[in-house]
This record gives sequence, structure tokens and C-alpha cells, in this order.
Amino acid sequence: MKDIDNLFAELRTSEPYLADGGFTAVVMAQ
Amino acid sequence: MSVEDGALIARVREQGDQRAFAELVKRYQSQLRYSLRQLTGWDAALADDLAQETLIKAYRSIKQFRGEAKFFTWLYKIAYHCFLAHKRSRKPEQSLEEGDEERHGDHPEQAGNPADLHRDFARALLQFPPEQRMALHLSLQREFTHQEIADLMECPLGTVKSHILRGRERLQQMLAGWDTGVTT
Repeated sequence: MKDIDNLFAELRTSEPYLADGGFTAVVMAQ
Repeated sequence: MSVEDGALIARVREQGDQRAFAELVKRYQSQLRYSLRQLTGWDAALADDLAQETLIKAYRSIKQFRGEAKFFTWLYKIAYHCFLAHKRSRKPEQSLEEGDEERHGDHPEQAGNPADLHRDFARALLQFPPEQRMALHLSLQREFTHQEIADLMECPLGTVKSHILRGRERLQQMLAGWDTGVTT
């Protein structure tokens, strides 16, 4: 079992970057 | 050199500059969409819908942004209200969306499979009421202070502390088997 603090730290450091993929364009179109 | 948030916000407020707002969206879309995935059990489509709703509301009400908090924090406050409104109006949430493929461009070389950790954490958060889910996410992943969370969620500081303390203990139990890929 991993230490819970290490797990949370891993969550923060490995957060994926979600590519825009047209998201901004969709928002701005509205 | 990137333009400061404040300068972009001023251009939106004073000139209705849509390109400035688009820059703000590009700047924060990943974090916002990720957070909403965490709150919705990693339902990517729902999270993106809520993120769009959040940003449209932000654009329409940007004159109300007084700069007392960071723009990011203000955005999260709107997102929280959109999330709560959705929860109150819809059927119970479904379990984690399977097969969603997000990109890990910033951390492609992580040991293990971080994608599973993010999904498992989102699934674990589904076991909490929406308010506690938000408090846990902001504290454990976004590292907001308890006071910042209380201000954002407009709830007593003691409630936030209780949400996080109890939630942390429960998460520890729920995620105890994570390194073997087993959550309870």
C-alpha cells in the first residue's frame, strides 16, 4: 500500500494535460 | 512573453475582446476539464459540457469579476455552481466512463499507469456527496487552503475541515489497494 500522501502527490504531478482539440473554438462559438 | 491574466481580463471587460477571452480559455481549459472529470467520475463528455457552460457564464459575467480572487479561483466557483446545478437536475451518476483516451503529453514517462490512478481517484470520489467531493478535490489535488475552499464553496470553514479530514480517511481505505490496481 502506498502512503496516501505519496498517492496524492503522484496524482498532482501526473495530472494529464488535456489537449484543446477544438474545445476553445466550441466555447467561443457560443 | 505571456500576457498576465489581469490584462486579458481587462481587455474582455472593457472592449469585449473575444480573442483575449479565448486566450484565457486556452490557458485554463485543461485544468478545468480535468477537475470536472474528477467531480463527475471521469465522464469526459459531461465534464466538457460543464466546462463549456462554466466558461460561457464566466464570459457573460466577467464584469462581476472584481479581482479579489485569482481568475482561476473565480472560474472554479462558477464551475462548482454548474456542477451542483447539474447534480440537482439529473439522474444519479453512472460509474466511470470506460475507454476514454486522454493525453498525457506532459508526463509520458511516468512509471506505472497514472491514467488508472486518475480514473480510480475519480471513481472513489463518486462515493462522496458533491460538496465533499469538491472540497477533497480542491484540497488534495489543487492544494487550495481550507479557507480558500470555504470561500469558494460559500460554506463554513469547520464544514470544509470536516469534509477533508473524514474524506481523507475514507479515501485512504478506498485507495489502499491502488498499487495492485484494486480499489474497494
